[in-house]
Amino acid sequence: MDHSFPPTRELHALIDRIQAGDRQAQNDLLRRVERRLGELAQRMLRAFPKVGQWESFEDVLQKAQLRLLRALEVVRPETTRSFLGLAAEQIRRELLDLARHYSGPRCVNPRVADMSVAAREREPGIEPTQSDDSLGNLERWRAFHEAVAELPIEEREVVSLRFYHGWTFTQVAELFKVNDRTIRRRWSAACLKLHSRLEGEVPDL
Amino acid sequence: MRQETAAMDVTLTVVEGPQAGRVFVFDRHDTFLVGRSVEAHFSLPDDPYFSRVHFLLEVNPPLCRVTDLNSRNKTFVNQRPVKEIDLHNGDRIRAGRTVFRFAAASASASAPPSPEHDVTFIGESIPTPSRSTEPIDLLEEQERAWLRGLCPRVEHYLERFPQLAQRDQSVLDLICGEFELRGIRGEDPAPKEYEQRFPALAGVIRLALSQLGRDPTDARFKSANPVVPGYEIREQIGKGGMGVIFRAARLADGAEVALKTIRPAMTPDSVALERFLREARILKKLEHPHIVRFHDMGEADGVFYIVMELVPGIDAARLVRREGPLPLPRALALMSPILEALAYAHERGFIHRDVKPANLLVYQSEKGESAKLADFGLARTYQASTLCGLTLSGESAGTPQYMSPEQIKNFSKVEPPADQYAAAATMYFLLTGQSLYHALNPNELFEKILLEDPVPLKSRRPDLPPKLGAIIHKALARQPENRFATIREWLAELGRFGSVRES
Repeated sequence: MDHSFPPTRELHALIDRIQAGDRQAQNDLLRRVERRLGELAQRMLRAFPKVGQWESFEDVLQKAQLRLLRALEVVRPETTRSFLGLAAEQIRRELLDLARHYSGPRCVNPRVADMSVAAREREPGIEPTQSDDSLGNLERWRAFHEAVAELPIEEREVVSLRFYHGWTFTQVAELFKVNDRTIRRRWSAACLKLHSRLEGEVPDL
Repeated sequence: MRQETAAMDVTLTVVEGPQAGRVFVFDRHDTFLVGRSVEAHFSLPDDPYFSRVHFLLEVNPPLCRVTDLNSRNKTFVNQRPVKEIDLHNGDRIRAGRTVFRFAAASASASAPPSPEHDVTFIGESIPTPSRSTEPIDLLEEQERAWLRGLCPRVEHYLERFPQLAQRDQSVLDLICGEFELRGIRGEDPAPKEYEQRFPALAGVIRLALSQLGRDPTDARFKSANPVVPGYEIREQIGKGGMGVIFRAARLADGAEVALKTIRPAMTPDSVALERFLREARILKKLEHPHIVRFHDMGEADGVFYIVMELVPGIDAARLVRREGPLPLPRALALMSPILEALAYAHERGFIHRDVKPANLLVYQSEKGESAKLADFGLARTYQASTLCGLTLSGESAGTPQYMSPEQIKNFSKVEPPADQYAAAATMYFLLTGQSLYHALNPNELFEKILLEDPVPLKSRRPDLPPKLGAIIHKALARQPENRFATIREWLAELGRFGSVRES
């Protein structure tokens, strides 16, 4: 299990410093978001074994970071909870874009597109497109990220913190100042709704 | 068990049938056998709907569990046939034409109310038209039971609350809860197992469990790794019916010891706690080279602990699983010192009560392989207290394969012959790699222990001398008076089949 974020109390202090205009605190938080996004993107695209050769994660992460920075400047979240919600939303959108990108009609390895037939034969390891299975899973990922956005707020928050931020239920309960069991129930409720909305087509998490 | 109405903990009242009006009161850990057999505590020899041994109650007030003994006409609790179920205040047990009503006097403290038809569960997402009882927090109940070592499976709740079958949210809550709690206890459950156990929810289980795992920030983990003043816990080395065993260092002298934690099934009152500690301390008096030494015990932060000699080696159950049935000389070399130890203890008034292969610790001494007997007397002290909850069967219990018939029938009055029977069953296992009885479930096993003779040793080890089989089976006689008078007498007979090596 990932623990990208510091304990809740430390996180509150970081948010307070951001509110006070501390750029270093902002950078610290962004790095944590970036790390988590990287992990999730890799998990989502692991069925695409060659993707690392033709798509730079750094580009993706940088885009997400910029997007979050802009959002922070505009929204300037007042609480830790709202910051985390904002960050989760950016991670979710970025992953959704990635899923759409690779599962959409432009899902062609750009290197392959530029290669001659002879060159392709010399590099048989590079596939022009991904298999149906991989694409199907990516399509399920896309649907998953969209379905998360449709959850009721309390359940969406739990899924966001658990899935997009890698928090434990204990940490989430501490942040929301509720009993652990309440968080666990919201998680089950969210999973039932997601499963129903996805009609059982759940990606390989 | 008493048969008068006085200050009581658990009461069983016969409310229908030929003996209506009888009342049985239990104020301590005990068993209660019901059937046609004259040996049953509640015997109805003329009721054709009763089996010879119909059902068994294990009581440890205010807890109570009913186990059907493979009866032909079944045992019913609140109109539903049951195999094994924990009872709740007001439950009605029916066998044949007789109906019993169960009441726990201290129900307000521990025994949950009997579920009603309009029972509601905290967190359920469906609207409930009426609510006559307080909503039940199943997750809280589940968590408490698991952390006390009772380990009820989700199916237990489905049986207890049939309404759950229609409430996916509550069932999924329990599934996620059990998955995480098993992780806390050191298991590594696979999501696939849950998909198979609950196929109707397989898809959502895959989704929900995919993000769950061992959470080191989970506050409940603290209870799995106790902090015991004066000791440094190093690693978990085993698990038993009572609790978890750790390798630990005694800070005073750096000596390595085995530290066993005991999780109370219920919060004991100070009198019960003091009695338990006092009785357990008496065990320090047992000093024998083949009895695992008892160093210390106490209570720290709600966890009871026992500090014992650390025996480097393997228990006999694992040894036989790994190497198969043992040759006679090796089995004798391991059992002889154990029987010596039991004879020594019996002569001083101690009874082990839980002799089984898992309690034989096999180690290498200077003179070769030998064994020590673990948990001496602890089973009695533990089971006599209210700390253990219900231990005869169920998820948290060990195997009853080594339990004598009289121990099942008269749980609170066990005498040395019960140890002789258990030691003979242990020797049988060392020689055959198998238990005394083939049984598909605890219900069938209890029934066979009470009514049938074990599978003959010669049918599983025809190479062994027939006389040896006769000697082992004599120690396994279902009537204690038909066994050897003492363990020492049995040991002398066994000595004829090989030199009993001193180690």
